Amino acid sequence: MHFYRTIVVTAIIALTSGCASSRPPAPVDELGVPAEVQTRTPGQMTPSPMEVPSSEEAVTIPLGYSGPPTDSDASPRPVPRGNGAPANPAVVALLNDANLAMQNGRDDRAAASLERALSIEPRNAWLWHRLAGTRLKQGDLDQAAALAAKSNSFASSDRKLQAANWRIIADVHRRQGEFDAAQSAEQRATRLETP
Amino acid sequence: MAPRRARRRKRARKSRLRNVFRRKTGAYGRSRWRVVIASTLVAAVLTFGGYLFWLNNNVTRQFEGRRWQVPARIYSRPLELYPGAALTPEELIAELDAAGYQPGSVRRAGGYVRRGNTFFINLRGFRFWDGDDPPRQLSVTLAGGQVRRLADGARLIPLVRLQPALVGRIYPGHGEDRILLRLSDVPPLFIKVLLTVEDRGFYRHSGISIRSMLRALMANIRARQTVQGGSTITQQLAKNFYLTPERTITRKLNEALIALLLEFHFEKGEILEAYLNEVYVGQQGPRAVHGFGLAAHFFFGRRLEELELAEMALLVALVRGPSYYNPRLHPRRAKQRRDLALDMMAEQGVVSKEKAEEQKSRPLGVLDEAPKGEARYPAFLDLVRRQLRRDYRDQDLRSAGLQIFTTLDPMLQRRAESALSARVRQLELGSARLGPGALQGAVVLTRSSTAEVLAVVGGRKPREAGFNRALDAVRPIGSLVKPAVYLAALEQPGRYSLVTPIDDAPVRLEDERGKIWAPQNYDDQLHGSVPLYMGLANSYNLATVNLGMEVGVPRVAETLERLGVIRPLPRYPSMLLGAIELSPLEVTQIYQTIAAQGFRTPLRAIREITNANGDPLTRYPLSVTQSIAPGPVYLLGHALTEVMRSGTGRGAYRRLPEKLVAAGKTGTTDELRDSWFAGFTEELLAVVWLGRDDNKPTGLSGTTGALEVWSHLMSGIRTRSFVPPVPDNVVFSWVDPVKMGVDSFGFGCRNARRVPFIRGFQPRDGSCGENGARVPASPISPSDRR
Repeated sequence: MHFYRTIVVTAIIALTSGCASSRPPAPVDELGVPAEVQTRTPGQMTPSPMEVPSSEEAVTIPLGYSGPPTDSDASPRPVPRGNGAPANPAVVALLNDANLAMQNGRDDRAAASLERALSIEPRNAWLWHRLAGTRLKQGDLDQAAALAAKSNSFASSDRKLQAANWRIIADVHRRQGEFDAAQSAEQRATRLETP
Repeated sequence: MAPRRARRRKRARKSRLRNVFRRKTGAYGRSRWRVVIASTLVAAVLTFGGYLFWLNNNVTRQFEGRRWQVPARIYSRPLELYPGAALTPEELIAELDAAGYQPGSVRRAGGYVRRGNTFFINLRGFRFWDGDDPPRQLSVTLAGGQVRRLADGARLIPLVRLQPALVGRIYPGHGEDRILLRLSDVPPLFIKVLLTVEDRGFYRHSGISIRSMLRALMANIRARQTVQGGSTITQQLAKNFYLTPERTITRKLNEALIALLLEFHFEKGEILEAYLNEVYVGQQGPRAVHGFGLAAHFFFGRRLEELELAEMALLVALVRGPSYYNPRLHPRRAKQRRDLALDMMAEQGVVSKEKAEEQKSRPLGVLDEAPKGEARYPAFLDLVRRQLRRDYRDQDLRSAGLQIFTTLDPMLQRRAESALSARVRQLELGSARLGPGALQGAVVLTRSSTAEVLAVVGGRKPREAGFNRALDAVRPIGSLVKPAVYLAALEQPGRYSLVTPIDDAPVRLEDERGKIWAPQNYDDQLHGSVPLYMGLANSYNLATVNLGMEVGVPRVAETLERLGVIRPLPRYPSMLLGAIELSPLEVTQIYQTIAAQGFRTPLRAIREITNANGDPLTRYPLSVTQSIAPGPVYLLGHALTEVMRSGTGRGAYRRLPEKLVAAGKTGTTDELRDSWFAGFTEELLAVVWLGRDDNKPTGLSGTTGALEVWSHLMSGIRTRSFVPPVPDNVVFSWVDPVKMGVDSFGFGCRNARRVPFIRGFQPRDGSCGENGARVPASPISPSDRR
């Protein structure tokens, strides 16, 4: 069996390879490279060299944002500012990313950007609030309420933000059919908004 | 052997036929002979046809349904760089090294240069689960232990993340490893090198090429050694892909047949792509290096598109004999073979003669060792695998090329490892009881705001896989349970505040089995009536049991459950002193909830998972549950800072800066078998366990053992004070620190201290002339309030 197979295979191969070798040889510089490979520009392969100053003296660097102090510090830091907007440019950039993602309907990406921001500023009540809003939009009601409560735990000086969190909690209660709880959360929000 | 026997058989058959002709000539004989021939031919054609059909089916099915066996890759967290981020030059270098960046030049992606405090980094693009981060010409200026300036080219940028370090893989059973390449990602130059050396007629032949076989033969005769092989790329793929590495004529023929079938069914591009990923180029222990994507990483620590011509030529040269030309073992042979490939390039006009000569003058440039990252963090990877197994099939983990982005912080992991190893050695030296190597330990470190696990140390030799004590040493937790007892009490503000006097007096209890239980204090003393917080700070057993029995064991157990214990808990009084067995990881979950002010978040070791193409599959989002009210957990946190200031944890300040506010609890079990410490600052929580694998006494208490490791660890990390936000319903009152019983309120003014109370349950304001401090007169009972 094995033996016959070998004989016939040899015959077929002899035939087909005859076809292959009957073509005229092509010059090697015409080496075919698939079109999809050729579309790449050489620039992509070797990135343009960056310029590095040759000595230490040559480096004069304007200092940008100098950041908050990170040494051990026992004094409580002021947590959320009045308008709730973060000032750290990195956090601002991530918030912008989150906004963009939300606009594009990419709620999961928005949440991921907010989580990145939270690892930079874990006590930023505004970020927790935004995360609560994202979860509410995603329909994760329990998380929305819990994150709003978490935001409130950092928002003691910001009544407007607290009110916004209570409105999220009210919304969650309403959607869960708990109308009394919704109403009382709503009332808390209103009280916080009246000076 | 077999062919010879076949030949003999064939000869015998022929002679038999001849005999038949001799005996029976004539029409009848001739027609019978024709029948025999015809039926033999038909049988042969049918047999071969059947075989071809079978082979064809097999080849196409395998090729189309091929799932490259790509191991799952596990990454650390990416380092976030932004102005203000805490980072030293040494730490940045370690991160760059771990992410596979090479110092000295920024000409190529993946290189960096340091000039003083500024790092210039040719940042590779990286596909994160939430999209592509583009390549950048990054400059990072560090000063005063933090990032001062961050720019991409000349443009200041607010934030960038480094590509994460590859810290582990989950291999298929046969150890095949590869980095999957798409044809469109492969530099055209590389393809030219490959085809020039291996198969010049690739785009013309139909699977096999007699011409190249002959040419190879000629070349080999001329060179008097095997310098060229006649197999086409397609034949080589057939060999790698379908066949076992035996060397027989049958196999050679099968290989050719498969090559023909492949060419018949598939495009050249598909075949080339398969070859680029399949070709075998090296071995490292059980790990088989397949494909040029991984080869570039394995030998140069680079991506294929980053390679220079000479480096490409070396990779292609390896195809001919991965072990014979192994550039790490046989650099001379490898260089010869590489230079030969470069000569071929020049000969064929693919590159200029000068270019080839210039490239030939270069050293091989191969890394001394393949990039590390394997099994460096076995304990952490163990945790990752367990989390993965809940959601993924083992087969997918081993072969589907999943990319797993974890929360591992390599910097902190290293610190945790060295803190444990160093202190454990010290403790052994200082102990008559402990022989060398007897003491073991484990550390779990988390970011308390997000419950991300940053580091896991499973033993004093952190590189050794094996018994992972952080996850599997399930031990009595001793006094680490006490915060739950006090929290259960503080949740009843009408009955208990931080200064409520409790009795540190003898206890005798009978358990369900009628056994008498009479615990003692650690110092064998009775401390009389003590304020509640002091019972916790000094870890008085008798005060705690008395309090726990008042509150009720079921209530304490239920509090523990809300803090995050999942295991069923015994409802015995001995539970109040920690007769509960938990692993360091489970303990971490309890303290995580306390550190996060009552918001319980399941510990996470994985953030995201993507498939081989980088498309997101699973995300493990941050989720929180408010399981403890803010007021009581705030009071508990205050008492836990008192542990560190004046209680069993105060020894930590031999190492920690006096200004740093930390909170924590020591734990010790019977006969000093287990030594525990769980403690946290604002953002970091660490749990340390020390003990012996044979469960014999260590001679260490929580204070003399685990606390040492913890403070050693924390003193090496920049961290911030634990100053939780004050809940709306918490107020501070001045109280007498010494005589803090109910009767003593308002009677001492000197050194009065501020203590938090749940609003409405604070002591009534007293007055005190000295220092202007307002001192409470007496507590308000709830009934006094209107």
